[in-house]
Amino acid sequence: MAALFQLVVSGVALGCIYALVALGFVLIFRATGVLNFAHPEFLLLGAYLILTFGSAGLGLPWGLALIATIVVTALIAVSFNAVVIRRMMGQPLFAIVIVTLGFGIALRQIISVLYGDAPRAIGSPWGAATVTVGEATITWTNLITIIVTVLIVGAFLAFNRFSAYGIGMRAAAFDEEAAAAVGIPNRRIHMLAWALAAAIAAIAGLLLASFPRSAVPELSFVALRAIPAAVLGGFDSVAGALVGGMLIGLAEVSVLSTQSGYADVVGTNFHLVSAYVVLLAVLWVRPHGLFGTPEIERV
Amino acid sequence: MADLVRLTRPAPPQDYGERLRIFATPGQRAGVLAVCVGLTVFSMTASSFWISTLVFALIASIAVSGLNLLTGFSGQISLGHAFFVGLGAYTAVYLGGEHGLPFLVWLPAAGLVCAVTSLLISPFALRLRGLYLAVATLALVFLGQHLFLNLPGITGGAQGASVPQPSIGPLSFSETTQIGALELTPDRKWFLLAGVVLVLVLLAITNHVRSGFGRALMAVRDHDTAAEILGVDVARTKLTVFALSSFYTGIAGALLGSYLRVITPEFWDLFLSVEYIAMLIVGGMGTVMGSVLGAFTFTIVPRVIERLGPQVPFIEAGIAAEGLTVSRLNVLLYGLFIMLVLVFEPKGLVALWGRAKRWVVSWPYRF
Repeated sequence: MAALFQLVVSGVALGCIYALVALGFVLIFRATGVLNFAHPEFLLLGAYLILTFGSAGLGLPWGLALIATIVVTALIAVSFNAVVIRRMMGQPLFAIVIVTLGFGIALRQIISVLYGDAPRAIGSPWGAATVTVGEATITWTNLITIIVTVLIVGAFLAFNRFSAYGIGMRAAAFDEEAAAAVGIPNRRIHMLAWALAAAIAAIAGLLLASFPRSAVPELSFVALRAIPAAVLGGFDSVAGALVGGMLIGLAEVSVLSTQSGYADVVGTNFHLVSAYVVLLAVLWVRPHGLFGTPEIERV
Repeated sequence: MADLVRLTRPAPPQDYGERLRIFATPGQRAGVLAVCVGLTVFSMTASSFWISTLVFALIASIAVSGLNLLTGFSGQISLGHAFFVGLGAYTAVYLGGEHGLPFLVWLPAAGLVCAVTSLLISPFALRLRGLYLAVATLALVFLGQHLFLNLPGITGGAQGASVPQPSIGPLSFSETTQIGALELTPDRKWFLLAGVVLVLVLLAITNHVRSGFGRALMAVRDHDTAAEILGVDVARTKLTVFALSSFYTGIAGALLGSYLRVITPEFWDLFLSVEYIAMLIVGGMGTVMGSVLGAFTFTIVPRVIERLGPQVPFIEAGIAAEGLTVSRLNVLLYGLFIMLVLVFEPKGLVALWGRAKRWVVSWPYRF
């Protein structure tokens, strides 16, 4: 029972991280119609910039270092949008997607040059502490991940539902031209989408690099597994990103804990590809994901 | 002004026959011929470093041309071509290595295996569109890598497998042949082989594209519902183009594996797919020459940087070097280069070439 509880908690925690990353993908997709391939690198920025600002670098208090990390990541994303993506609006989408890919490749190398490829502990204040619930032992990292995700998602949903900018973002996602015609500042909306997505990615990166993991370049693969999460929820749906992330996280953890029993059938490390199996199964039944909008064709 | 344009530009084609010619003008034919001859002469004199660069560029051109047929001409985005390249290579390992079949059997067989596999997974290709298709093919790369790692009987697992070397009749590709004064090293033979295969593939693709099938492809790309109403069998067109594209990619994979000699599952990863897509887009989608241009640029530029790297200041050399190493600088410039080309010319290098040509033709009127 305790083992099962532990398993569910770690599955939900991983699902939370996937949900946060998927939310970033969906935000940028809704604003610009682009699958942002530089998103995994925003995650890395979150995990590595804390090294520069925190006790290992400039020695800022943890809270300030956290804020600085988030702000700098968001600034990098916003300036990328302002300098490159805005210039390319109206060009074939595919070309814009490849530009984000080029940016991601370059950014990853810059991070490698500055920080090296060896794993580095980011020194979160809760460290390796655990709490015991009944017989189950749960790391603070998992607990904080769940709490932070609930807070972020709650704040985002409220922002999306009630604030003028949130409503503007939804309007622009629905029909950009019509939104512009009624006075919604599309340029600012795009900027906001990039900033929010990058800030959320930075937080996800931080959580992902906390104990028992550490900051390594391979963290960006996690973001790649969040693409199936976003897609299986439906790429233009915020709720879809959250549900998709949770599904993928739970699937991955349950496969991880049981796969030794059937490893001769599915092979080793099957949990790393289980996300894609779930994805294909969902897309087979629903080609636009669980909550995605089916396309309406005009001829 | 209009008179001047008429003087400097060839008259537009008057009938379909003229329009469908493989080379629009005699100048184009001469240009292509000159490039082929020039490259061949270069490969017979250059050092093995540059010849191997050319061989990689030729093989990449084959793979990208296959991808172009699918993505450029019929608008189906695939991030999964690394899987088909890998599958082609492992088919070569299995048929050529394990069963000892000759080169002229395992090369086309690698293409066929890929084509059949693509038909097996094509139900997804028919149901999914755009981004959803792209991500489903992304799944193909990861699941394929998982398979390659977990089927050690065929692929050698993580240790890798050695791929057979081609030999055609008495001509073996692993030793040097002397023809008069010309020394045909294995690399030079490889250049000729890859060049011949590329020319055949390009001819085949040009012919696909200028046939009724090719027009159906472009109709599906531009608007599949409209194409269906016009009488194009969309499902059949999509299936055929998937199979054809995988066929050419599989052949490229068999060649690539064989040229690399030893292959491991990590090689066929998402980055390989991404590289091919970058070559396709930067070269120019939906044009036969664009794929070749992109593949050559992206194969040659990193090798040039690799050569010049040690001379650049701030570069740290050595195997254990941290910070700005040559390989990091290489990938960094690679990313920046993709961004720069697409920001300034989203239609790719082919469009840049067209722009340069117009500039010369309309000189001194620069408009």
